[in-house]
Amino acid sequence: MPAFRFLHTSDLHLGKRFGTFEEEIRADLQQARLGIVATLARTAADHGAGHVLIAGDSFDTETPSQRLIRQTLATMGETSALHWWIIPGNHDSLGAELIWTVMQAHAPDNVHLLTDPAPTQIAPGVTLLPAPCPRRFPGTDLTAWMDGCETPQEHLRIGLAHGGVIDFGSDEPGGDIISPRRAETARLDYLALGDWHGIFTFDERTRYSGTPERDRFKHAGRGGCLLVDLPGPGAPPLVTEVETGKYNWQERTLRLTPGDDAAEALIRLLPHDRTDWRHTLLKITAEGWCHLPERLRLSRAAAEIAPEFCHFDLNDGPLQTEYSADDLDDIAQGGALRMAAETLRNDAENTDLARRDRDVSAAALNRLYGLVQEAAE
Amino acid sequence: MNLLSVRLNNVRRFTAPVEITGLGPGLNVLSAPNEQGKSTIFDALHALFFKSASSRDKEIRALIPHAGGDPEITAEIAQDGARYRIEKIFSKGTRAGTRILRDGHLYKQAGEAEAWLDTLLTAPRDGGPAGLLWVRQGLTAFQDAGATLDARRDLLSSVAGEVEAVTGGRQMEAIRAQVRTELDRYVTRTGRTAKNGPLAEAETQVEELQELHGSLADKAADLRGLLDSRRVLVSELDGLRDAQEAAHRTARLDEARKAHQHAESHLERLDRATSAVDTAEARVQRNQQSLETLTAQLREVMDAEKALTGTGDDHRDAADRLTRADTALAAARQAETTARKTLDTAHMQLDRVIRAEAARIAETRRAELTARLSEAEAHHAEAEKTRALVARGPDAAVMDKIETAAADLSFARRAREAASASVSMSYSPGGEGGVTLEGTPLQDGARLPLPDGGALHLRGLGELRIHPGTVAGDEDLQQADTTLRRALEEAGFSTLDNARAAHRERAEAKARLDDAVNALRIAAPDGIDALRARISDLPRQEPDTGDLPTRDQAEAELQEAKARHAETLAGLEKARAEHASAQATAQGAGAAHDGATARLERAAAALRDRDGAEARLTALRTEAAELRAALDKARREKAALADSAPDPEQTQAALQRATSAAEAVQTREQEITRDLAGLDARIDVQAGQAIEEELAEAEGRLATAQARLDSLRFEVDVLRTLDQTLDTAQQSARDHYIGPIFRELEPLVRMVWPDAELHMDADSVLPSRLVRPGAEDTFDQLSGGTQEQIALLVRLAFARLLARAGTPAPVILDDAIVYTDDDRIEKMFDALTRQASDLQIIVFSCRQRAFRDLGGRLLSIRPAHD
Repeated sequence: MPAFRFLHTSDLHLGKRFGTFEEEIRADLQQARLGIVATLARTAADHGAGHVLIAGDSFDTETPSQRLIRQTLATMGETSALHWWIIPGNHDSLGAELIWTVMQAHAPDNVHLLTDPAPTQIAPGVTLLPAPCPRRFPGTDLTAWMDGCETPQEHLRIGLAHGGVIDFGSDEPGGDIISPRRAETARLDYLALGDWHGIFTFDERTRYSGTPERDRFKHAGRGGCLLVDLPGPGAPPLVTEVETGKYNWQERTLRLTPGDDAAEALIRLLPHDRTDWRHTLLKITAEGWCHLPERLRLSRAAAEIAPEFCHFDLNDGPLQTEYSADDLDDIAQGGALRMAAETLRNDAENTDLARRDRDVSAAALNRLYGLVQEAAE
Repeated sequence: MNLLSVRLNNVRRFTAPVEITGLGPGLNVLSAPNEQGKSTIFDALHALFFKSASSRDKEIRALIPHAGGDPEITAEIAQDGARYRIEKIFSKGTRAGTRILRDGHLYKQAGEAEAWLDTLLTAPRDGGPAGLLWVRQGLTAFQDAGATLDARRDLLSSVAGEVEAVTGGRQMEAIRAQVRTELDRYVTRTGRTAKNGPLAEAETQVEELQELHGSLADKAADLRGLLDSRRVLVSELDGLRDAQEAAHRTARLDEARKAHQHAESHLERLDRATSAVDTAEARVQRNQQSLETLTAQLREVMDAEKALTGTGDDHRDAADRLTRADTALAAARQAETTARKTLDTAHMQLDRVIRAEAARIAETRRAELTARLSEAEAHHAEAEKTRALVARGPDAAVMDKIETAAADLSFARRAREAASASVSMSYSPGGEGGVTLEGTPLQDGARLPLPDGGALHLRGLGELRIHPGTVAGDEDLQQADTTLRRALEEAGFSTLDNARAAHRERAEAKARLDDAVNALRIAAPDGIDALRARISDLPRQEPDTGDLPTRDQAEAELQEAKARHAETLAGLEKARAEHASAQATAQGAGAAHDGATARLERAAAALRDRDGAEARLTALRTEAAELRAALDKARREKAALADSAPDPEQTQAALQRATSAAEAVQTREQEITRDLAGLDARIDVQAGQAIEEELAEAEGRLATAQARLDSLRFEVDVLRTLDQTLDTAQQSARDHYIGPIFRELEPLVRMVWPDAELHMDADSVLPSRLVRPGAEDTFDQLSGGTQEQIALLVRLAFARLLARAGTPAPVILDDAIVYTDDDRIEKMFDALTRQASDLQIIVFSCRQRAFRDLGGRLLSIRPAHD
């Protein structure tokens, strides 16, 4: 029994539109998503893997366009020696008849749609036990049948399923939890799972590959897949993470205290490789306290660097402003401007006012500070 | 703070050290010709207090002498009871530095010294003037370059700069303008969203995306509905095509068919048994009918024969009775004829009696009417005769007119007599009758009127003539007489008596005429002609000369004849009735006899064989027994089949239901196939549009757009809040500031212009108008000198405010009132002197002569002696 090598991937979510982003970024992200099938094919070829196991959610919705399905199949079919083994996930469950009707009608020979929970020999001595999602919320552990499924003694047993082994706070309700002991009870050499968009190792035989192209800040970094080697029945799998994603998703927190150099702190927080910024989506949440000048410097620094990123989002809502006398002196030491500044500061700190009114006053004071500074410069 | 001395070295023209000493509280005057370095001293003071020692800006560079060197400026000040010496060397090198000595000892240096100076010059927290008095005119941040060249304007501009520092001034206005400009991008001044602005764009984008999202959600729901429908149909179709279900349906249909065929076969056997029963029943019935018919025919023959015998007897009896009735009828007719003739005779007798009576009555009437005719004709003649007389003579009206005229004349006459002369005579005894009038002696004592005068004959004396003259009433008399005569003439009479006689005759004739007419009416009420006609209408009849009975006798005979005739008529009618009855009986008996004969003939014909009838009757009765037995058998067989027969309706219903179910499945399959085709077509169309992907994208875009809209609305609120807060603060500062300034300024203004009133602009807080008796000028309309004076007074007012705030600062005037004439300058000096009571005022002026009268401490620039 030779070793068996394959790529484990899932959650391609082809067709995802990224509507919350600006149009230009949206187009880039969509394009990257569409290219992920070819990337996976290249990755398989690069690593000498003859099979790609997709653990569900190939498509983002149950009604993707035929164009998308057909182009995906065409890309998969371009390398006939590479076999694609696909199960429906919760996003593209068997209830999404459109997908599977079209897929079945147009799938090339090297694309195998696993729509029945039945053992399938995918290579000599290798049996795949698929657990296709019959509907969006199956309401049961779809891998339960694998325990009682007999396969030849010398065959590798690979489980392919979609769903949570633990409650990850999955993006879908229902909690159709797959038994965390499934690999053991079903005597699986490897259980390839999908649903979780980040790479996650539950145990040495049970893994989530994550999405090959990230689609949210929840999972930092670039997407990837798992290159899996199964030396033989019962032997521990050898798993290697392979980066496949084009865009780097990062979410960071900038914690400030009064006196910090906010601009410098921001710069320190940025990814070091500046050449990669154009492929980086960075979301920074500023927290803590700072003085008016720092706040101004922070916003100016953010405005300065933002265009270099694919997407840059500074959320300074949680950042509180601490007003010192010097800050107000910077606006005016006396007179009407000083009076206005003090009024705004008092309102911003007046807990009798509604939160939004306080926020408005604080923002107005920030603005006044900025305008005075601009005038002074 | 009071300035005590100033020392300069290497400052412009002062390449050797110079100093001004002896400065103190109140007025200090440095009066020197131009180009003596007053402005240099001013600039140096400004640099000392406001510029860092390391500064090399334009102002500092301007202080460096042409020959080079580092400007050194030193000033001594008194502050809070201590004496400070401030030393500052402006240099690019290490010489640069600031030192402060207090009471001769080093107090601060370098940065600390600069900070101490800043504190010294910091504006009061409550918004008092800051640096006003130290800033050289023309160098404030809010002036244009042109204005710096004009000393008068500089002075006011310096004040304006201070006001601006308090109210925010141009910086405030610039910021507010920027806020307003930004706000205008979002909303209009009335608060509505500005067209084509970012907010409007964001709102439009949200609306469009909401609409797009709604549309896509509808489409997605539609697609989802289609897919759900398809899923349901496919599931149903799978159920319909389930092999086990199909086999079950087929088996149920076959079973129902067999059951129904069995039921139909049994039903056919039952129908045949029923037909056999019906046939047997028909045969029994036909036998019964034949039996009954034969029996009836036989009975009819016998009844007909018996009836024929009876009708023969009746026929003969009836013929005898008719003969008797004929005889009786003839006798009754004879009796009636006789009685009728007797009655006719009695009628004729009575008629003759009545006619004779009528003739007699007519004659009597004729004689009566003839007499009345004669009488009437006589009255008629009398009436005609008197009717002519009635037409003569005056009628009552004419007569009344005449009598009235006669009465009037009589009245006029007596009136005239009463008015005219009269005579009366009283005779003396023995003279009676001695006076006569026209021969008639006057009565003794009687009054004799003489209206027309007259002649009295006086016996023995002669004639006494009396002339009446004109008497009252003559004219009336004359007119009455004329009226009477005219009335008489009109009536055709000459005298009144004639008229009265004619009237009496007419009245009498009228009375006679009335009598004749009344008599005529009585005699001939309808007229004579009618009376004559009635007479002629009376019948004339020849008298019956025969022997006639009385009328009563004739009437009695008639009644008796009538009774007799009625009696015979009754007998005649009775005979006729009896005859008719007998005749009818005879006819009926004949007819009955004829009918019995015919009936017997018909019955015999029907029976045909009268002799063989009995044998046939017996044969029919035998056949009847056999047929009943056959019928009973058939009924038993039918009952047996009926008892065991299945319910055909039930089997039919079962078959129908099974067939229907099978057909329904087939139909439903076709329907579902058709519906699926339709659904697939619709799904294909919509699925190709990736609706859910677009919906997800639209949701994201909508969330982003909504967030942006919320952010812009927050931004609008921020800008509004800032704008309103700035406005409120600015207004408040003005309100806070203008009152104290005005209170300080007012006494100064009155010193210079006793009757004038200075007005301040509410926005700029600067002098705007000067109102004097008979003149009101805006600030710009005032002469340069007046502007200069007002500016100085305002400045002094500010300085006083500063002093009252506890931070007194020197007021330095550099040729501040060069344009003021000699008369006015005295008043300005008074104002300066007044303010100098608690201020240090330092005046630099080139007008040495004019300022000699200002008084105060005279200063001079002298070489310094270290």
